[in-house]
Amino acid sequence: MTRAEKPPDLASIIRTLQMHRVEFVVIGALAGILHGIPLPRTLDVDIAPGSSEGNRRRLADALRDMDATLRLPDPSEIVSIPLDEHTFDDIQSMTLTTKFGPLDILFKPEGTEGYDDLVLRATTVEDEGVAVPVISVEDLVRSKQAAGRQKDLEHLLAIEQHLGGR
Amino acid sequence: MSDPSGTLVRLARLRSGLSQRELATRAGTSQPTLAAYETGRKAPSLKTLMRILKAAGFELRMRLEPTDPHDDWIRAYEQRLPPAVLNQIRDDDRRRVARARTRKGAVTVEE
Repeated sequence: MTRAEKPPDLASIIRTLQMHRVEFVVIGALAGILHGIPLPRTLDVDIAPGSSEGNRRRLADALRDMDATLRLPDPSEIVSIPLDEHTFDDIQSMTLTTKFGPLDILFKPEGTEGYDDLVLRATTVEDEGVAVPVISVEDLVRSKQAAGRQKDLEHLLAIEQHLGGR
Repeated sequence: MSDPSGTLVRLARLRSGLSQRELATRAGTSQPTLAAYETGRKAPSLKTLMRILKAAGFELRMRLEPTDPHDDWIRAYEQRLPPAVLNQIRDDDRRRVARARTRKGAVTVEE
């Protein structure tokens, strides 16, 4: 099975980030799922990491450990990129493929001020033996409202129905 | 993906706390028509959509953004995954949702 045909391995992604002491929170549809909201998942793991220089360096180390490569339009194609403390200079987001599956990095998800803002209300969810830091449902709603794509509207509806018990 | 206008109508109605009949009356339409909009069986014009949303207490704000290739990549990636793997992912997510709900139920009981 090629890398592009492997299922995402959330536990390994989280463990690797934590092993390298990366500060981050899980965002996106997976965050909703971990909160018990049945959102249709996009099959990638989305995280918002802290943007300090030290954390960016640790993030680069973790990504190297995960054999991260830049995502190209054709999932079967991969291109390596240098992963160091300068990788994320002037970059707000990056979509990657790792040996554990697709990983999206957003330093400042829409509608939020990034990790320092999101971590204040984040919780930890135990998943397959791993403690996963997850943004709050309120912040999930905030970011999806700001993004405003069609799929975000559908996720907002699912969240609203879940919260209302409908 | 379902019709976005239907999603917007339903989302606005749920947030407003109105029933279909109440919102339909406020928006000058009928409950069956509103239900058809919500389920995607009928699509309102943009003008009608904005009237319904206003009746629910909301306004629609729109902006243009460059196309994001992210979702196209994910779709292509999903198509390359063997069906058994896709099913496993979906089963795993259903289990995550169930575990989270059990945890929340347990907290409620303890309180």
